[in-house]
Amino acid sequence: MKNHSPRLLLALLVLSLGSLGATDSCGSDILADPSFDLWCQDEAGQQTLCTWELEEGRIEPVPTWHEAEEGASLIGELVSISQLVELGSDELDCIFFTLNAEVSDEDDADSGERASLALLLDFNDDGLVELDQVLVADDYRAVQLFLTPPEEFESVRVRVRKTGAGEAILAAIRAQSESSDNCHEAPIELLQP
Amino acid sequence: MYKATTETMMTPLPLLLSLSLPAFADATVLPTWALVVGSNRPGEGQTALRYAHDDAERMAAVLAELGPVPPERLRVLTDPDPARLSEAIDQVEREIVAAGLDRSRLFFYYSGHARASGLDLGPERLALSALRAQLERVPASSRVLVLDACQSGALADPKGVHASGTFSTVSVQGLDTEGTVVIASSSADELSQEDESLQGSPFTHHLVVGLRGAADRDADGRVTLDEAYGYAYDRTLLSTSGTRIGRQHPTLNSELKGRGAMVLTRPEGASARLHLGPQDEGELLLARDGFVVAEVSKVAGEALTLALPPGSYEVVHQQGEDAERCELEIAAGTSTLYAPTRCRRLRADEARAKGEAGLADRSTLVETVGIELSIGGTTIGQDAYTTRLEDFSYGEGWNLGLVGSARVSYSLHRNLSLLASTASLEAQSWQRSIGSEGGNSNETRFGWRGSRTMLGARGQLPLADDWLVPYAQVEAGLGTSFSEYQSGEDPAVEQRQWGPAIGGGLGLQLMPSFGQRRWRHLGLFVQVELVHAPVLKNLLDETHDLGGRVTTVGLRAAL
Repeated sequence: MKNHSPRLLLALLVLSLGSLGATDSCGSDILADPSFDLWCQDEAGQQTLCTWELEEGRIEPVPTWHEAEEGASLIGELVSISQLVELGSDELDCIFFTLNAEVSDEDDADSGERASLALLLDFNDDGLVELDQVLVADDYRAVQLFLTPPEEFESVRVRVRKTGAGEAILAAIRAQSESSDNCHEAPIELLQP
Repeated sequence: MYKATTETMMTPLPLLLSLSLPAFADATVLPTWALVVGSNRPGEGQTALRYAHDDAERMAAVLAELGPVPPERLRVLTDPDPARLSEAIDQVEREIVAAGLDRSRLFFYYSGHARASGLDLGPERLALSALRAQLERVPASSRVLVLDACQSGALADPKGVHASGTFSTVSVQGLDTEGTVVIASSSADELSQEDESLQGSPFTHHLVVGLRGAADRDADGRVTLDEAYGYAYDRTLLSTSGTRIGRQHPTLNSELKGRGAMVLTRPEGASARLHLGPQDEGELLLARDGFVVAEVSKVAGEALTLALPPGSYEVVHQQGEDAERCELEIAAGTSTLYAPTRCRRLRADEARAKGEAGLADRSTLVETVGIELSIGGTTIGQDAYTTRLEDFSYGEGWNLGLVGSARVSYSLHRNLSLLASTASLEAQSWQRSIGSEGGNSNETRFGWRGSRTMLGARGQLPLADDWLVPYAQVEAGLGTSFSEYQSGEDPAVEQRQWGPAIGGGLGLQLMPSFGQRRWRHLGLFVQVELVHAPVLKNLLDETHDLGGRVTTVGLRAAL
C-alpha cells in the first residue's frame, strides 16, 4: 500500500500531484498486439486476432478487468496461437515475458474442467520447439520470466497453447527485449533439424 | 450576556432623579435644553467602561428625534473633565436666561463612573456639591436628571435614607431641590450592568425604547415620565433577572406620581413609525445591523406606535410557544403597518431563550444556517484496484489530491447541527504504452474522478464569545465516480459508478466579529476528515477507495 502524504496543512490550497508520465518502462515489445486489442473476422465470419495466428481451436474476445479492455478467450480443449518474431540473436540477448491470464483451476472450475497454459518457443521457426514452459497463471496476475535465447538464431515463433476443457482467457502476453544483464540462466539450447 | 464592572461601588446605573415635585405638570413638551454626557474613562481603581458613549449617543438621538430638542439646545459630551462639564452647564444656564421663557426644562443625562462624593470623570472628580450648585443656578422650571452612573441604588427612597455613603444616596440628598426629578434604576446594594449584546446598559436601552413609543401605554402618541419609567422598570428587571450580577430594580420618586403627566417625547411626530394594530400581540424584538433597537411586549386590543429610524429590520416575534423570525422594512416619512415578510419559524430553544430572558441571547437569533466553502488536499492510496492496473502494465500518469467542498449546516441547537455537503474526491490518471519494435505502439489511458454527497451531524462547542468553535462531525451518503477509458484512436468509454461514502472529522471555526456584529458570522475554518468511499470497481470485484485523509480550509458564513 503506497500513500501519498497530504500536501497541505493550513494553506489555502494545496495541489497534490504525483509523478507524471511514469508508465511501465521495460524494454521494447517484440510482439505485435500483446494485449489482444486488434480483432478481425476470418473467412467464416468468426472473430479472430489480426496479428496472431490461430493454429488450433477457436478464440473470441471477452472483457477482462474493464469492459473496454478485451482479452482472448481460448475455446476448446486444445487451442494454440502464435506469432513469428523476426528478430535474431543479434537483436535479442534477453527476453522478458509477462503473461496475464485467467485459467480455470481446481478452485474455480465447478465442473471439474481445468485448463493449463504453456509458452512454447520455436527458434528459427523450424518446427522444433526449444522451450515448452507451463505457465501457472490465475486471476490475471502477472506471471513473469526472463529467458536467455540461444546464441545463434534467426527468428523465434512465440506460441501459447492451452490444453484442457477448462476456461482460459489471455489478457496480455508481452515479450520485451532486455539487456543481457537481466538474464542469468544458461542460453536455451538450439535444436538442430 | 451581561457584564458588570468589577468594582462594587462603580457600576453604571441609570438614575432619574426626582427630588421633589415640580409645581407644574405639563401635558406638552416644554422647550428643553439637553446635556448628554458619556464617560468611559475610569477613575482611580476603576476599569474603563465600554458603552457609556453609546448610551449617550442613543439618548441624544431619541431626544433630538422625538423630544424634540433642537440641535442648538442639545449638547453631547464624551469623556469631559469637570471643567468642561461645568462650562457646559454654565452655557445652558446662560442660554435659558437669554431665552427668557416662563417655563423650560433641563434634561441632564450622565452615563459613566461615580462615587459617593461625585462623578468620576476620568482621574478627576466633579463634587456633588459643585454639581448641585450649578444645577440650582439653571433657571429651568423643571429639571430631569438621568444618571446612568456606576453605583448601587438607594434611590428608591427620594429622601435617601439607605446605604449611606453610596453615590445614589448622597446624590439624592444633595440634589433634592425643588423642580428636580430623580429616579434610580437600581435599588440599594444592586449593581447596574453593561450588556455586551446590547452594547449598552440595559436601563438606558429600555428607557430609550420606551421613549420611542414602546412605553406609550395610553396610545396617545406621547410618552410621559411615568410611562417611560414604568416601561424601563419592567424591562430592566426582566432582562437582568437571569444575569450573573442579579436583578436591577429601577426606582422613581413616588411623590411625582399623580401630579400630571410630564411628556418627554412625542413618537407620533416622528417621520418614520412602526404601527402595531390591536390585533398584533406577543413579544417583538427588532434588530438592525445586528443590534437590538427595540423590544416590546404587545398585548391584543391596543395599538402601539414606535418611532424608529427608517431601514431594514430583523424581527423576532414570539407569541406563546410559537416564535418566528422575519424581515421588516420601515419606510421614511410615513407610518408603516407591522407586516413582516420572509418569516420562518424559530426553534424551540430560541423561543425559550426569548421568553425566559426577555432579551434573547443573540446567539440564538443567528447561526441557524451556515454555508461553508473549502479547498484542500486528500491522500491518495493504493489498493487491489490500482495493483490490478499495474498488473496490466499501466503506470500512474498523474494524480490530483486537490479537493473542494460545499457544505450547509442547520443548527438544531447551540451544540448540534445537521449537515448536508457535496465534495470532490480524488482524481487519477493511468496510462499504458505498448509498442512493437517497429514503432506501432498503442497508448491506453484510464482515469477517474470522484465526488460525494452526504448528510450528517456536527457537535460543536462555541468558545470565547463564539469566536472559536471546535467541532466534531460524522457524515454518510453517496459517492460517485466518473471514469474514462481511451485506447488509441478508439472512442472513449465512459462509466459512472456509485457507492457508499462515509466520513468523520474534527474542525475549528474562527468567527471573529472585528468589533462589529455584522461581521460576526463570517469566518474561517480548518478541518481534517477521514473519508471512506469505495466507489470505483472493476470487473474482477476489486474496489478503489476514493476517500482518504482530507484536510481543508475554507470560508464560513452563518445566516
